Amino acid sequence: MAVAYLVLGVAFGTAWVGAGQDWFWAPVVSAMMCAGAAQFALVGLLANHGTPGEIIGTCLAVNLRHLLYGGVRRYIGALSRVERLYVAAVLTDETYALIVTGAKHDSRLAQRCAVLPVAVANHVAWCLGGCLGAVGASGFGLSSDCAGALLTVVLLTIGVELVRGLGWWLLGLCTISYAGAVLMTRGYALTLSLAMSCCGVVLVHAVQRSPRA
Amino acid sequence: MKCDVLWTVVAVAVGTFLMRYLPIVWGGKEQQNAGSGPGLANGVAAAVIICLALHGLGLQDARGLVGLLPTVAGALLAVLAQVFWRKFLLSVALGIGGWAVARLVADMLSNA
Repeated sequence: MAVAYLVLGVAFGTAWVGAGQDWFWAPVVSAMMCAGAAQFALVGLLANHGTPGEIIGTCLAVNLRHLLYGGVRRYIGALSRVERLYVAAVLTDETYALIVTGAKHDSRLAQRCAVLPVAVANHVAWCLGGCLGAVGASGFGLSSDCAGALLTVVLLTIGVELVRGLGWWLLGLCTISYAGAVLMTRGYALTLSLAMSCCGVVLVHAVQRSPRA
Repeated sequence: MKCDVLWTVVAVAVGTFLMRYLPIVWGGKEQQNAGSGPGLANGVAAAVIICLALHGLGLQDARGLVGLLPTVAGALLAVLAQVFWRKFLLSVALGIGGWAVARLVADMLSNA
């Protein structure tokens, strides 16, 4: 997973420089936010000269899903306050998935051994990738086209594994949502498709958990 | 980076941190009791990743078939490699290789 973060980070760093920002801020932003989807939304909005209100609103809307990740508490409850704060600050989708699918450890030592390395490795790889991508774009002419293709390829590759684990219905749901969003509005296709597919996932989850199901 | 951009980034970072930390402090037990924990969160996260990937294909842009060809070809190659071999780095390398070759072909087609 850290390798995937490294590659994604390169795509972010390149896109960051492509949006007209200084290269050295890419790893700083990655270290501060550690939020893949929101950072890519941030880059897009900066490139399109979005207002601070639009940028903050969109990025926080993309990150709304983190409100569902409170369940990670049982896996980090035995850590110290500083360690819990750190894990919370760098808790991404993939880090969350890795932590909750691992064995449940009750002791502080076991949680330190199981949870902290995952969080640190993903965070470091993400920042390092951002730095490499930004340096590559500013010093070696790595194009934003290439970064965009890299990002798409990495996301699809991760998506294949996620669909394999969760069910192919998810791919159908997202494809229909995205196609519908493009037909309705091209300008806000991503935002609309995210909203529709997330609502669909919640609906499917509710149906699966209903007593009759 | 301009000052307003810096403050915007700081605001997003603080907001994101609060969104992550507050549910852990206050909502963790309730989410577990309601049964909305890992299954729902993983599903939502997967939906976000797949939608971002579909958006990256550029189908919403009016670039025409030749403009779409490189990204779609690279993506198709990466997906097929991952489905059949399940080697992450190999799939990414094949995808980017496919994109580069298709980009050359598309450039030649548009120049011809």
